Amino acid sequence: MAALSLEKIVKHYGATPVIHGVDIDIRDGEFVALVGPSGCGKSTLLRAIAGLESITSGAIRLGGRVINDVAPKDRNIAMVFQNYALYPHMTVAQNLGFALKLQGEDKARIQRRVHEVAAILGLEKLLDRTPRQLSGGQRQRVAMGRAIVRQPDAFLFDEPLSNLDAKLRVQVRTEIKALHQRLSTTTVYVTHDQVEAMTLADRIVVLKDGVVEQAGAPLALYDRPANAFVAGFIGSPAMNFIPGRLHLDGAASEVVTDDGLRLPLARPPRGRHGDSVLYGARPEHFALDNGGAGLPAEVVVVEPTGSETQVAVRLHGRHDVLAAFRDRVDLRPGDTLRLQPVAAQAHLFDAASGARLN
Amino acid sequence: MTSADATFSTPLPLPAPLASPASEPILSGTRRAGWLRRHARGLAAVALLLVVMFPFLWLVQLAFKPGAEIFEDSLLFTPTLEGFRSLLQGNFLKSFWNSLAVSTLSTGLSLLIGVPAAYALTRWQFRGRRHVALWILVTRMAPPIAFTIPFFLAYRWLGLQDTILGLAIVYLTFNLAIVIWLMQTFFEAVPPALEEAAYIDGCGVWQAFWRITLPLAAPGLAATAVLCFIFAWNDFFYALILTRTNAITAPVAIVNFLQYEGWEWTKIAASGTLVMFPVVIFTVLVRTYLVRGLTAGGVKD
Repeated sequence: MAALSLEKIVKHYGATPVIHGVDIDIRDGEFVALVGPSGCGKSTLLRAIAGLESITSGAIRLGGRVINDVAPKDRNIAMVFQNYALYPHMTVAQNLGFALKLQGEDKARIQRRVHEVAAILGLEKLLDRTPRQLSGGQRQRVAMGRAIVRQPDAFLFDEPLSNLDAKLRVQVRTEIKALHQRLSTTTVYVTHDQVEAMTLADRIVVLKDGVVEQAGAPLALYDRPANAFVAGFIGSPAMNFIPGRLHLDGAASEVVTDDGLRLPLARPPRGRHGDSVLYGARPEHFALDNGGAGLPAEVVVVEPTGSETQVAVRLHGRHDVLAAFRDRVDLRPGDTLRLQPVAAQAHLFDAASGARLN
Repeated sequence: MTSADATFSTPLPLPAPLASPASEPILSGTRRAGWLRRHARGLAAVALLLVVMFPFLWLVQLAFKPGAEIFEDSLLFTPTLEGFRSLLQGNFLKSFWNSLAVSTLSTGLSLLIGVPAAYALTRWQFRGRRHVALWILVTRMAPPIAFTIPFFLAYRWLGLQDTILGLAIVYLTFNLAIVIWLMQTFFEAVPPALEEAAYIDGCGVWQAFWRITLPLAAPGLAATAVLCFIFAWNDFFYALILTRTNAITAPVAIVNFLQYEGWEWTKIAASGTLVMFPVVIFTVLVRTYLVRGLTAGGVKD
């Protein structure tokens, strides 16, 4: 186990820059998720850590040692691939023991270690099968077993759950988390699924176009996203954005849309009166306010999920937003109601730069 | 379907004495048609097989025919090993051995040089990669006659004329293109992620190739080896020009049975059978690999 740090990583493919100076410090034993839309450079970054991809400039340090020019085989890093990459001509036991065999371990020790790992992952009965005789979930587990059998300094996961069906994905996700709690090995986990990142990671790094947009604890990113991109990316269903202008009147402040909707803010934000802004409200941060001064809204679609009810509404006949209620609400398409965004939970971003203003 | 059949078949039994005289010929007719329909595929296969196999079977039966009856069309004769025995007495065995040695040597050399080349061309991105691959293929496009005079002169100067090594090198030059082009497709079919996994597991480039990629491309390798062997084995042209006595191969030796004094048909047929034999055995032994190898990459696993 070891700390892993990326310092000013730059990567060009030919003349095209794909990663523009990324800095990430990962503590020993920490679980960090790299998330972002496809093409953001997260997989490239992971492959650079593994040594499968060279970097143009910067430094990758593992346990204090710069490993830029170290061959993958000498980095003592294990990786779980998206398509598992199990060796089809070897049995599960041979797949698990391959790395140890290459290290020149004696047969008895390899066998003992393979059985230990198989026991952890529930693979004991499958040791003599070949990968093609396994289900997707079992293959996934063998791939993880192959990674943990060596007791590496760091684990890398490259979208390991994307080939599993929804139910299995949740199950294996829990297994990965339990595994990390048990082994406490430094882990870098790449995914485009922010729910995976939220549930698994100690810390999330959000990437976009080869730049770190924000890094922090999952709930910190959820509660105080640094910019509109992170706000929209983290959270499902996604945050609603309503464009408007900032109105400052002494201690009171609000956002007013150009059709006159008044959106409340708890405290005066940064920025000047009249600035063009984005008002952000998460779906669960709307209150039903039928008697009072809430915003006039018309129900478009009602989506009950059981635990909550998501309601797509149109504010003032113009702004489409999604609201989610934990209580059972009796609404039908076409109903009108009044909705009030919770001022204390509102997010405010600069319309041009996307930077957080409150 | 089955339930429908069952419902229709239940009311079928008719009053037996009334129905039997009229229905019997019809029944046997349909029975014959049913038999034909069931076995049509097999019959067609047998017919096709006979057409394809006819020249080979003819050759083989000629080989066992007594010399005196060689021009009689009758298939009724007492088989004799006379033809084969006379081959043993002559020096045909030596030429057969030469053929075996030349084909094996050139196949081995072609794989030794061609397989790593194909791997490099598949996995490494370097400048002019496509051009290099094309140049290699071009060597296979010119007719063999274009190379004979240069080869002949060069071999005389190098002292490689009429040697097994010399002939193996000639076959190497044209088998190399086959190896490189066939093996490229087989290597392409091995997912690069497997090699990456091997690198991370602790393999170097060479180990990943040896332990992961090559075993996975083994069916293709077998198919390629068989093709190389057969091409070298069947060659007549170069062997005729570049050998005299020492390294003479079996196909050329057969020509020696066509003499002014008369054509020794029994010997020709017997030696032809022997030349055919290893190719058939080889192909049958690796036929599953051959089919899998030659269709690899065509279907997703």
